[in-house]
Amino acid sequence: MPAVLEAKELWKIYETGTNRVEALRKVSVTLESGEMVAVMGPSGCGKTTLLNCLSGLDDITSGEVLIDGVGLSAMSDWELTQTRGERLGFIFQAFNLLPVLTAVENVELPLLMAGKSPRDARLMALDALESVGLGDRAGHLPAELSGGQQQRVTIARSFVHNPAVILADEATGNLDTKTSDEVLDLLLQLNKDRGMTMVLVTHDSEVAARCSRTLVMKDGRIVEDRRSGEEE
Amino acid sequence: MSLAGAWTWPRKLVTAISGISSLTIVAWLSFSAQIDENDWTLGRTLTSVGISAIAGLVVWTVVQWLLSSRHRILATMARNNLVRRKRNTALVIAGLLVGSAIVSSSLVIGDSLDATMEQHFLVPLGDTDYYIRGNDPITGLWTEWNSTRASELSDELVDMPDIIGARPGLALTISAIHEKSGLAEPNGQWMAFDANRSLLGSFDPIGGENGIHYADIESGNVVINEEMAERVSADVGDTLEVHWMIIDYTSGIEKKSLNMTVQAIISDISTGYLGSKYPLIFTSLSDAQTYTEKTDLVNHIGISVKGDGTTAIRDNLKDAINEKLLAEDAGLTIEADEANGMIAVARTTGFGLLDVGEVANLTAIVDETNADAQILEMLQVPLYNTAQGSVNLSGLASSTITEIAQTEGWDWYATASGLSLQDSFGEWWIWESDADEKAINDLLILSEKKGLVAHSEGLREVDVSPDSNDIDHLNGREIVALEQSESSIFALELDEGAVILHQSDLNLSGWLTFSILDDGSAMRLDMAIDDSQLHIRIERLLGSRSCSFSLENTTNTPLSQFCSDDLVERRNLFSHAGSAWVDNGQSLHLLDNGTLIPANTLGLPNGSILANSESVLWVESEGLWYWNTTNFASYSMPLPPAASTSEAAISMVGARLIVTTGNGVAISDDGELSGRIPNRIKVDALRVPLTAIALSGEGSMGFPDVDDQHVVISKWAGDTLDLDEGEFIRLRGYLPVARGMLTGELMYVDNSNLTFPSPPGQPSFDAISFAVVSLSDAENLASGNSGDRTFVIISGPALFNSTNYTVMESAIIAWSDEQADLQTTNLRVVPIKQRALEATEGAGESFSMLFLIFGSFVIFAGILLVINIFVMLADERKPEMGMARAIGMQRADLRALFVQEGAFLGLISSALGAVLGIGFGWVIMQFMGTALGEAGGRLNGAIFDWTFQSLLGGFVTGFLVTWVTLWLTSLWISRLNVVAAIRDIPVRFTGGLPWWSILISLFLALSSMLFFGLAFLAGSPEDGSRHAWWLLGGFIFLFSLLPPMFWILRVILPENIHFGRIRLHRPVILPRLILTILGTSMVLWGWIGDPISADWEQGAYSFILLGIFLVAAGVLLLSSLAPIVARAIARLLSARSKRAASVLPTSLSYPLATPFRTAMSMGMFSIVVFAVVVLSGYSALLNNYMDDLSEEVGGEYEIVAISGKFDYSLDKDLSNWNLSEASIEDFDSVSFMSTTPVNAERLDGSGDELIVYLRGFDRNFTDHGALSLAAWDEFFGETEAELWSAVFNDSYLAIVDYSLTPQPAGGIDTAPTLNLQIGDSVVVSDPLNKGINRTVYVAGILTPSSSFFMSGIHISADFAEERFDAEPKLALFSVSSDIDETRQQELADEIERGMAEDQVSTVVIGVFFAKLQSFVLSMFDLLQAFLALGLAVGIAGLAVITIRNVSERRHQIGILRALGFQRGMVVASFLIELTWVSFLGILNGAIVGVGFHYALYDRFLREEGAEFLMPWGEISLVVFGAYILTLISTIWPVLKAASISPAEALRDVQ
Repeated sequence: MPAVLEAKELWKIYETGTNRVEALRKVSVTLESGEMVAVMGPSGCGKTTLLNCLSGLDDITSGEVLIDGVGLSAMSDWELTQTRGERLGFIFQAFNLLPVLTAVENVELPLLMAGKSPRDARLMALDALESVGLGDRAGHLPAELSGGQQQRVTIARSFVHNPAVILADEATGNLDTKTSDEVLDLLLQLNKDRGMTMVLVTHDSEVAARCSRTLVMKDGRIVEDRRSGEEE
Repeated sequence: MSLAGAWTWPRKLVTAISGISSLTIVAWLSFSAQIDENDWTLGRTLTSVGISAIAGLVVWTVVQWLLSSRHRILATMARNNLVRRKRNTALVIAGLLVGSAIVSSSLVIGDSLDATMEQHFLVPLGDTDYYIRGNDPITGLWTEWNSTRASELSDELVDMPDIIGARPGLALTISAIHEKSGLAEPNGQWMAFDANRSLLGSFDPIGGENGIHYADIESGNVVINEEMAERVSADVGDTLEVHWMIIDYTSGIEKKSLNMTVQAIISDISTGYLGSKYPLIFTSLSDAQTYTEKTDLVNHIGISVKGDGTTAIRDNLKDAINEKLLAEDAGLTIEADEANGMIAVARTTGFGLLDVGEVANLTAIVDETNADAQILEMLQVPLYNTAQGSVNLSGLASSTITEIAQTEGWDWYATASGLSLQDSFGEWWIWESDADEKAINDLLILSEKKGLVAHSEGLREVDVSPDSNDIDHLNGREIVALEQSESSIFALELDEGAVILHQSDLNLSGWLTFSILDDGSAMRLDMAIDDSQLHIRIERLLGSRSCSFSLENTTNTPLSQFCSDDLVERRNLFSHAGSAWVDNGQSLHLLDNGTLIPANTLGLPNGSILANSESVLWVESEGLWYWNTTNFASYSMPLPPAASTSEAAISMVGARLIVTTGNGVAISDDGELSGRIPNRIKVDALRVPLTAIALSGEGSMGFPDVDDQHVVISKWAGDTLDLDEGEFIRLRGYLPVARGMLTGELMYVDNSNLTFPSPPGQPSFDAISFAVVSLSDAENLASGNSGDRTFVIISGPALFNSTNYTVMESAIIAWSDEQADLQTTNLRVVPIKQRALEATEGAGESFSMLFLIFGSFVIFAGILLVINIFVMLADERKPEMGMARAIGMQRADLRALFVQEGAFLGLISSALGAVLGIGFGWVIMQFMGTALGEAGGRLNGAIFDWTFQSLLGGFVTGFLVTWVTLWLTSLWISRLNVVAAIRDIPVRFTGGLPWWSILISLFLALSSMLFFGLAFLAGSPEDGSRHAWWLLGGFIFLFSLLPPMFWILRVILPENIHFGRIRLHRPVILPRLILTILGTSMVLWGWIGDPISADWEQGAYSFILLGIFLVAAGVLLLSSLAPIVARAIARLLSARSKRAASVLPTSLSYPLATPFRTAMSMGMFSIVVFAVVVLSGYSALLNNYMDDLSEEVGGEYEIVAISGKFDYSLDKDLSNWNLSEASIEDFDSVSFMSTTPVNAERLDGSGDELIVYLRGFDRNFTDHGALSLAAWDEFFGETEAELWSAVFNDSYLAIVDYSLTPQPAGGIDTAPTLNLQIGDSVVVSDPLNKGINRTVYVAGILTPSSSFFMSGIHISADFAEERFDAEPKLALFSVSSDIDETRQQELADEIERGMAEDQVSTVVIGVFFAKLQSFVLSMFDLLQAFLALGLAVGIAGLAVITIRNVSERRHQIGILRALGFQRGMVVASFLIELTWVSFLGILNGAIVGVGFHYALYDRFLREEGAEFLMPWGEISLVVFGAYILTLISTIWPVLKAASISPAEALRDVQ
């Protein structure tokens, strides 16, 4: 399987005054196409930092991240944003929808940014919303939707442009169990149907259990890389 | 089909081209309009630049939207942001609206002031664009010229292109009395223009559309303007008494008056007078000419043109006038004497000289016309004096001498023009009486140095002892004769035919008065005295009457009983040798106890007595005789040959005889002959100096040729002075002496027997001509331009032929007419409309500048509010922007999104704000109108007006501020780390300097260098612009040092700095340290300044810069140091109160976490409070200054009366003032100030000199408290009163006004000073004659307030009048303390009415200053109201921000509540936070304001002795008022925050 996302000896160090925090310590990982990867570990172990660095949202102190074999550090901000917009999708714990845009407008935004015509973008966005079960809520503002519905809009936004990798940071963290299950089903469905690579940062071992691969982190290192079926 | 597509390079290019093209087109249009209007003011230029930029930006954004689908998406997002965030949108719009409104209202105030000025200047002027008029340089009156020629010229002018109308007219200064109301106006103007030509041209009726044409003013009627009507309370149909004066060269100043009926009262529209609110009257020109007897004269031509006039039109007008003017207009006179074949050309205007070019031209014309004609150039030089040895020969006040006396070392001459005294060193003193002919009637010598002069206005006691002053007695009474007995002095008065005798003791300490004759029949009086009796001869129409009474018997007895009609008419009565002598027309008789003893029986030969004196009688043909108490004896001494037998006077003491010659006096001193002549000769009404004459050309008129350094003396002078060939005489020219060159020219007398031939038109030539000298000597004596001539005479045998003569005369006339042009006629083409426009702009600008200065602080506060709002909104939207970036939005997209939002908001709110500004402007102008109206000044009321330009200015400023703020905010946000943005993590720079900070540092450093350079290249040290540039350069330079300082300190300082137990961590302390250093440096730069700029004037821009930067420095210091202080306080309080321990850090955490926003809010309050405090301080100082002025300016006097415009002095006798008795009784003191301009020079040889007023004060003035002194020499008096009295009594002492003392350097508009201090000596001299001088010692200095009305050097009036001919020009009236200002004004009106003929105007000091004060303070109140707007902006801004804070921090509040914070603690926490931001900001502004005000005071006012004043009450009110208002305005959101339930707040974020 080809590697869509690869991290080589990643270091991420935060310096605040006299404090020096090594959030990632020489992390190397390769994600292959179609994988559904759960990243687990205790709070502060560097899960979210890893996700941010893998997606190019955050700078790295040293090492390299490659998307489709291309190194992010060589890219300009413009190219990086372009790459993020086309190849990556994001799902955050706090949903992070734009409050002034309706559900469909939020979903079509990455398409429009990628240069799709407004008409096509609207159709594709409605399609995506339909597929997450929110076809009838397309015209609602985020504030008018429940937490689960908002997260489903975020999911629709994350895959509508057919990215190579979807990065989800505690995607179900703010949701009740039932909604959480529904969202997870949706993600598994996407992974299965569309072959999208998924990286899920989670605390929930049940979520991890449904993933094809689990990375366990501790103190900024990947201490365990377990594939589905392998012994813990 | 949509044009939009991918944002490709071609699309970008098209967008760029569209944007730039639009910018260029609009810039071109805007600047073209600016070029057309020639308006290059800063505001207009910035508007042009701004509107072009806006056009470019808007077109760029629209085209981008059209062509880029990506930007359409952004536009949709922007629209959604605006529509769906309604509260935010409203907030931003409100902020921007206020900002734009403030700018446009400032500009609209400017427009309105322009309109007000237009109403004041342009509307009254009406359609008159040019005036042809000029002033006579000698009299200062309007130049008058020929009416017919002016009419012809007017007709010619209207035929010229662009000229619509022209009308000749007369303008005169008048006073008017309205008998019915009892009111008078001393200063009015009479306007009279040609009625028919006024109708022909484009001239509107006087008073505008509904006014009246000159043609409709009926004869005998007058039209007046509302101002005149109001001042004299006149109505239509009332009769006005109009007074005016004319200066006649033969009779001097003549007062004229006329009663006219008011036909109409008109408004100040199209009056032709530049300015409103000046009292005017109007009649037709023909009526005015008739009434004023100026039938053939005009002094104005008013011209109306298309438009407001141009240089080309003015040039055309000049050409036309030059063409039209004739010789006589230029003052060239051509006198023809055909019988003698002579033509004389001379000039009557200016200095009366033909210049060298004119003489050359004339010579050429004469040569060309007739080669046989001769031209004689003549130069007449006024002489200051002539001297032989050290004796000044020409010092007599007149050639008509009535009495001569000699005392030890002094010769006394009573003359027709005054008393002349000469000492044995040859120096002259002259006292000239105000009255004219026969001024001195008698002279009585009291002692060696003291004499009593009887003159037509009283008695003058003249004392030639050093340090003594002359004293007047019996003022206003015509005293005709004086006698002295052993114990008394008698003065005989002739009062309109009545005879009154005054008797005093020898000290002249008081007078007894006796009526001798009261039937009004007396015509002439004589008085004589012998050892027992006083004799009076009364000459009547029919026969004489004589009185004789015993010297002991004068009291308690009607003296008329001792008088009886003479049986034989007595012709003369005089005293000689202790006896009284009567001449009955036949012979002289001794009057011996009522018996007449014929003198011929006592040894006197028969013959007329030609002259008599106490010691000698001159008997016709018999020489000199004297009475030795038993019989007459003859003197063997011969009379000087020049002695004249007619109207002779004589004096003999010992062997020294002085006798009149008709042209002066001849002196025979033991046989040695010499003489004295007058220094000026009376010709018609004028007294002119003696002249020396020089000629060129062959002497065809009998003038002798004279070599250089030789002189030929006129016969009259030669005879009197007994000059012979071979003697030397010194001549001094008038001008060289006036310039301090006293040497003169020593000349050899060739001959002293010249009878001057009189040139044509010069009848009095011989009388004033002293001598003939060579031309080069004359030019030296004239000290003038070589080649200038007084006149030119053309003569020669060829001109005896009538034809030749006519040809020559025509040629000369033609040439003379050619010479007449605007320059030679003193006429000018005055572009009056353009001047009005300039005045309008100037006045409007200075007012609107004041508003803009203070408005700029409000505008700045508005800008800070806008920045604050955007930064707050940007903060709020940071996470979503981060999200947008995460899902593919580029940085440029974020910027575009913000800019689109901003452009839209900016367009809407700036446009609305600009319109709202017109409303603000309207409100302010309503207040200003009231203020101006109440002040009662020349500008009555204000007119509201606005221009599109102002609207545009407000819009452009608002839009650009919005756009730039948004753009910078979006730039900042777009560069944020995406994760940090999404998670709202504060950013802290920990690494090295970012690259852009180095660029900014470089940019700032270069800018500061540029500003420093501009200070010298473009700035002026006078108008304050140099200082402003320099100041700005310094501040910018300090900012440029920030990044390098950051870098250097980061390297130098250790990571942790330890002070004992305190550990300071570098990354935490560094920014605070740097801000502290920057703040402190800014304070030092702004406050203390530097040696280079210390002497430069500071102007308005410096004030704005200092205000903004010092306030910023205060904010920086507060932001950097206050948190440390706050923490320390918190620690202290935490030990005492648990609540405080928790509330205080919580409340301060938010402002400390958002330093930028906090600083902006603080700055907003600071800047406005700063301006309010400075204004309050200034207003208080000014108010106090005006109070002081009002109290001190006139001392104890309340009313000042000032003499009219002409050289006219006030009558010191109040009974001649035509005031009612009741009014006179109201005055408890009246003082006259005798004034004349003098040259004052420091005695220390520094060469510093200045023309100042010499002010002579009288005894009443010192008795009534005089004026306040700032300092005095206590040697001369311990109190101010003693000092004034000492100065009054000692003419070597003086008091100087404050402006003559050393003034603080760098003061604003410092007048020239002599830097005088107590103890300095100053030489005061007549500016035209430095020989008349006095060195005075500065014994006192007036306070600045007292110097306001009475600037100059103060000495006693007697001395000022005696030595310097100072005349009473100012009268001060004091009323008792129970008379209020209303009555004072009534009294002042009464004075104006009584003295209207003399055009005396009055000022009631209290009323004058009250009006001024009311006006100035109203303006300050208005400015403060304007600033309150800024404070309102700050308060409203903080309220809005608090509302946002509360909704932003609901979650935080929930947590606090969950943690146990009571509601009260939440409220307290918010209130502490608000206090922190607002109160510290307000306090900062107040402290900087007070400091700034103190610095201004320290620099400019302290040395003037002003007291430092700060209206602490007002300032406390501003500080606490603003703070309390802030709390009130924010209390609602704070209470709302406290009422949030914890569960709701915590759930809110879910």
